[in-house]
Amino acid sequence: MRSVRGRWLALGVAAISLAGSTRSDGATFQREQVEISAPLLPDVLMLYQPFPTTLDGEKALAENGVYTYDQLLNECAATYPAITLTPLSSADIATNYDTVAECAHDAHNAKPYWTPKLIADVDLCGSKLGAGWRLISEDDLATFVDNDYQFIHDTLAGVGDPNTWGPLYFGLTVWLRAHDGTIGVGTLEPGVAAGQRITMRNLDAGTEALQLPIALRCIRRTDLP
Amino acid sequence: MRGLAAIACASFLTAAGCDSTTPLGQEMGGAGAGGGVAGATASPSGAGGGSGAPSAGGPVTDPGAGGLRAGLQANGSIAYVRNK
Repeated sequence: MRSVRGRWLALGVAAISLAGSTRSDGATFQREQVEISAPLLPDVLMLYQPFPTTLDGEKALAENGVYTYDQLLNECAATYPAITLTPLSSADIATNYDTVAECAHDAHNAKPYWTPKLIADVDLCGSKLGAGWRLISEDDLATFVDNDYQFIHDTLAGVGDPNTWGPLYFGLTVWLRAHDGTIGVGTLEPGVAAGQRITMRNLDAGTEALQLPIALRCIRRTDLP
Repeated sequence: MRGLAAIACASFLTAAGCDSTTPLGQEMGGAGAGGGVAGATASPSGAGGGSGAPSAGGPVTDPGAGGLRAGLQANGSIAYVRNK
């Protein structure tokens, strides 16, 4: 039989729990911050070499042959005056995005051509961007609603010249991890039926680089109080 | 809902005076610690807030000054706050 003190403690915990999860209107108060990274980009001259035969070899390829946006931004700033490191207006950020793509292509042989097996075997997002970052998953796509997809699309609208680098580097066709753990391809574009978001599946075994504009974007979802 | 009232609503979720019909983005409005989107990538302050949000699911499109500005970030990421 529970003591009086124990019952009061339980009531207190319940009250605190209720206050922390419920708004004044009784609705559940749950938010999260979503971050979808700029594409990681491989140095295709390294990627076109014979694919490593060991996991350590794959990790070394990821370590030495994959650029993050921040890396490219800082390295390209020295030779591409259009890049502005700080301060940044929205227009500056958009210009940076486009210019980094040009620099990635011209100066670093970095193109969004990926070898599926590397994506399947190595935690590229975690190792390149840090804790909390991971490959976009089929679950992510399932939990997003139309507003998410529209916002993502609108954010990139007008960023990246559609006649040059934009579609190649900053499209919304992305690599993802499917429910069964295998690597596939899906889309973040709005207006796509839920059952049609995954366009390719079971690509893990591929050791040849696919010369397709499929972006390797990472995601980090952080619950907010 | 702005300023201190918004902070009160965000910090003490059952506080009297919170407008239950206020969209989440507005409820997060105003500046000051505790009043906004804590830990936002683009802001060391964690403050912020603003207007406009769908009532269920999807992004808070304009968290406002002082915190995470939803949209394209300096690090190239697309960031926003959404209702779950």
